[in-house]
Amino acid sequence: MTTIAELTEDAYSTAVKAAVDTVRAKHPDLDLRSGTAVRALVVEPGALLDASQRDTVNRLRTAMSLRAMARETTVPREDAEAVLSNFGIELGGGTKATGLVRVNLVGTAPVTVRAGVVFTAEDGVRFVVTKTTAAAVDPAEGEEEIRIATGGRYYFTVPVEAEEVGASGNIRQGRALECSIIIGNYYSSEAFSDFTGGEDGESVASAVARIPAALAYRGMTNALSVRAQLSASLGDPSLLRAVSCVGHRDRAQLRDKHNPFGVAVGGRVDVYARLFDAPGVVSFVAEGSLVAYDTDKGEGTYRIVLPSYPGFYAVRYVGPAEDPGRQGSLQHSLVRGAVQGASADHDFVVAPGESGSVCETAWSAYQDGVVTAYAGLDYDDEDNLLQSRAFKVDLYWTDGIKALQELVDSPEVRNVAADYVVRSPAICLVSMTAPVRLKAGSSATASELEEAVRAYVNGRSFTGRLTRSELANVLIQHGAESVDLGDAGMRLAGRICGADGIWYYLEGDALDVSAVGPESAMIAPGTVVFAAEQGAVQVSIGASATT
Amino acid sequence: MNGTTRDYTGRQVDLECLQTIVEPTGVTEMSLTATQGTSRRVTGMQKAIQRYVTLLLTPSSSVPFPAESDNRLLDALRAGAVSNTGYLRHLFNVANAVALDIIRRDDYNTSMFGDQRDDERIASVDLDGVTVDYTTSTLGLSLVFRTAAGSDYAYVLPVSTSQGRG
Repeated sequence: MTTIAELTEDAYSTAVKAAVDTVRAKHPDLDLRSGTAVRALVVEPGALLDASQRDTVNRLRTAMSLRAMARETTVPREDAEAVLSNFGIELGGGTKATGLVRVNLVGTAPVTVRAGVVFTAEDGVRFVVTKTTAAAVDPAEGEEEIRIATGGRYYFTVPVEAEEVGASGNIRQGRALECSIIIGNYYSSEAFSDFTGGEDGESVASAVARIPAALAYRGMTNALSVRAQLSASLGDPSLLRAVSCVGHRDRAQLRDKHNPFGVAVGGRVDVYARLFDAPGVVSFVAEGSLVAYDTDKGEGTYRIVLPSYPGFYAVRYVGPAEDPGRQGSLQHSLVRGAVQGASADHDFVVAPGESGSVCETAWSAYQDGVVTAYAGLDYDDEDNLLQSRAFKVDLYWTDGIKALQELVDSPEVRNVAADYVVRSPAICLVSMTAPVRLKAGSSATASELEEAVRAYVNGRSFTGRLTRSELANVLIQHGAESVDLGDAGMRLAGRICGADGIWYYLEGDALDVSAVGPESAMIAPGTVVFAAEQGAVQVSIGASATT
Repeated sequence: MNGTTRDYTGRQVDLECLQTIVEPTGVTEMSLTATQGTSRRVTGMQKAIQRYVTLLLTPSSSVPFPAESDNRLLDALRAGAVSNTGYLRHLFNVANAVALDIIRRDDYNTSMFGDQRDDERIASVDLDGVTVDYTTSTLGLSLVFRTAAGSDYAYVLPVSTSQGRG
C-alpha cells in the first residue's frame, strides 16, 4: 500500500478532482473548495485514500506487466524477478568491482584499517574494505608496508570491494576517495590502480527479451523451444553457447531413415548443444588389453575400452602412460597409431561403438568408446609377455550432454511425438597462421591478436563456414593495419572427425563444412561448430606502419 | 443540519464547523471554539471567512499538499519564535498569501467547483493590528476582509499561543 508520503501532488490532485466530481454529481450545492469543512471532512481523506489505492494499483500493474517493466527504469529488482520467475527466468546478477585503495599519510606511525570501513567516490559509489589491514614501516608477516611517496608523504594499500554490483565500481587509477573513519596521519586516499570486475546486472529489458524463448520451452516443438528448455535446465543460460536441431529432411539426420526403404520418415530430432568455447579436453590413463601380437615385430594390438565420458567428441591423443614403477619396460612402447575402423595413417579416433550404429550413438550419451592401438609389446621382469598395458588417452569432452539427454527424456519434458538425442557438436578444429602489420601506434601483441581470433572462432555458432576474410577483419579490429593474404600469407585450415571415425580436412579461403564428408559422417552446417585450441592460432607481427 | 446563519438561497453551502461567525457590526471577535450539538449549514461571507481562517491557521507541515506552501504562522507562534510585530507581520503576510492563493485558485475554477458570487469571494485581507492578552495567552489579529463585491468586514481573530489550541 502506498503511503501518503510516497504520493505525488499530481496523483493527489487527480484524486481530488475525481472526488469533487463524484460528490458534486449528487450534491451540487456543497461547496468543496479548499478550506471548506466538507472538503476537509469528505473530499481530502477520500482523495488521499483513492490516490493511495490508485498508486498501489499502478505499482502492481507495473510489477506485473512485462512491457511496463522493460520501459520503466525504477522497477524494483525483486518485483521484476518475481514476474520473470513465472517464465523460469532469472535476472543476471552482475558482479562487484574490486581493487586497492591507496591511503596517503603524512607520517609513518603504524596504522590499522578494519574490514568494513567505507571509502566513497565523489559520485557516491562506495567501496568496503574486505580485509583488516595493518600497515607499518617494518611490517610483520601479514602486514602491509608503509612506503615512501613523493612530497614527504607515505602510503599503503588496502583491498576493497564495491558495495553494490555494477560497472560504476570500475573506477580509474588515481580517482579520489573519501574515507569514512579517521586514520592516524591520514592525508588522502585514491584508487591505487584501475578497479576491475564490476559488471551491471542484467537489465529488465534484456530479461524480457528472453521471455519468448522461455515461453516456448513449455513444449519441445521447435529449435527455439528446445534451446530454451536446455538453457533453463542448466541454471546459467550462458553455459549453452549454441544449439542446433537436426530433424526431418536435414542431410545429417540419418536416424529417421532406418526403415526398409531408407527414406526419411520424421520423428527423430538430433539436438547438438555447444557447451564450450575452446574444446574441452579430459586426460586419463586407460588399460589396453592385448588382443593380438607379433613377437617378431615386437608389436601388439591393444583394445582400450574407454571409461564413461558421455557425449565425447573424439580421441585427441593416445600414447604410452607414464608409469614410474615400470619405467624400464616401456622402452618399446611407442604407439604407432591406428584405430579400429580407420586407416592406419589417421589419428586415433573412436570406433563406431559396440551398442549401436554410428548415427544412433555418435557424440551422444550412448556412445561407446573403444580404441584399438598398435603398440610395442610389454614384458615383465621375468620376460613374460604382459596381456595388458596402460595408455594415456586425451578426449575432446565437455560435461553436460548426459544431463541434457536425461532432461529431454524426462516424462515432464519428453516430446511424445518424436525421439530426441542430444549430441556434442562435431568440432571443426581450426588452425591459422597469419603474418600481420600493426597500425601506427598500436600496442597490440601477437598473443593478444591470437586470443582475439580464438575468441571469435570459439564464439561462433553453427555457421557452417569460416573465412579468412572474417579472421582478417578480427585482426584489423584489434590493431592490425594489414594482414597478408598472399601465397605466403594467412593460412587457414581445419579438421573434423566424422561420425564414421574418420578425420576430414579443410583448407583454403573458407572452411566450408557443407563441402566435406559423406552423409554417413554426419558432417553438415547444423552439426559442426568451429573451435580453436590454445596454440592453434599463430600471429606473427611484421614491421609497423610509420607514424 | 438545519437552518443557516443567513438565508442565501441558491448558494453553495459548507458545514459550519466553528461557532457561528456573525455578521459584524463594527469590529467583532470571532469564536473559534468548535460547534456543539446541532450542526448548521453556512454560506455567504461567513463561509468565506471560515475557509480563510482554516487555511490561514493550517501549518503547511500538517498537510501533505500543496507541498510548495510555506505557512509557518501558527507553528512559529506556538513555538514562541515571534519576538516582535515586524516578524509577525512577515509570517502573516506569507500565510495570508498562501491562503489567498489557494482560495483564488479554487474560486476561479468554476468548471470544477461551480459558480460563486462576488460577495462571498475574498479579494484581500489586511492585518490591521495586533493585541496580546497575556492572561489567556491569546493573540488578537485585527483583520479587514474585502470581498470582490467591495464590502469590508473587520474581525479580530484570536489565536492561542498555547500548544493544542487554535
